[in-house]
Amino acid sequence: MYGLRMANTGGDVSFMNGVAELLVLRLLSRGEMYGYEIVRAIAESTGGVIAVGEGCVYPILHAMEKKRWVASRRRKLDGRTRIYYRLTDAGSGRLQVASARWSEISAAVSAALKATHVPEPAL
Amino acid sequence: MSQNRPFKTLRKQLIDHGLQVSEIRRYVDELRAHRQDIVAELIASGLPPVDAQLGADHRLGDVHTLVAAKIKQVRSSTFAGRHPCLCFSFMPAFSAAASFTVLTMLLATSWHFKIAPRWLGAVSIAAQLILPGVLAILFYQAARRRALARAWRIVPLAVILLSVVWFRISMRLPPEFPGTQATFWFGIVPSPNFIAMTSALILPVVWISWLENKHVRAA
Repeated sequence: MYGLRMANTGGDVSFMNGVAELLVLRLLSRGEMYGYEIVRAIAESTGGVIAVGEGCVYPILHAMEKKRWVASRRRKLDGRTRIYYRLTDAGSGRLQVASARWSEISAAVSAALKATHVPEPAL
Repeated sequence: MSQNRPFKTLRKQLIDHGLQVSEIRRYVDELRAHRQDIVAELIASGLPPVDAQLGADHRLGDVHTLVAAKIKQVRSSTFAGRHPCLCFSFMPAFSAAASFTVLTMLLATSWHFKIAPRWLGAVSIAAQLILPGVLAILFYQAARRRALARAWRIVPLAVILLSVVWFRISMRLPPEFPGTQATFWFGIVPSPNFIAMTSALILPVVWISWLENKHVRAA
């Protein structure tokens, strides 16, 4: 996925697939936001470990809007027009599914990393 | 993106890839507003305006990355975008064959039952000449809207032209119809039908030239 990386790690792109989507859905579940706010919030909420390529957050948002997980509206504030995104009901459902899946995967990976016994490969 | 020029380059490249103007305008507007926010943030943090502009360009991403991200999103959002080979090589051949078969069956059936008006023959011939061109245009437009590579816009036209030139569908109704089945013949004709090819080519070529010129002007 374009636009998502782990800061300073040269992060593996395939490993990070779906994470941007999950983070954006989570942030929008708190309230409507525009692109710049979303990028800043992701960086802040992950302590800068995960960073979304700033310009590339918009294709992610557009894709999510096409899937009807988010809805957008134009809003004029301080003389500037911005496009605000908010979570839809479908998006809330998707967030629940994606969160559950992520918890499963991260628990499984943590368990594997903590395991003291590594099975011998079968010949 | 210190000036508007990189946004113009971005816009032009997205138009070349076939994205709709309204979609491009929205993307560029969002990027421009985002860049203003970054510049304001960097100036507030104490950077001089020139450095803030450079920093904003760096954080936003280069034109190539921004185009690639948008193209990837557009392609992956539809089935046809994800499976261009299936939708833009097999589907044109299938749709050309299916539409001609339906047309021939309708014509033959209405003639057999003597319910065909006099003008139906002329309309049918005209439809057979126009239909391949219309199908090629529809597939061209579909490939363009999905931001697929240029080859996928041309492949349907080539497939439809080959179908028109080298294949023929005919239907013979036995006299005792509808008591017995009709027989179909679908195969390669020994000599290519150049009249059909010319008629199938003119409409898409004119339309595609007009559309591409329109997009160049929009860029």
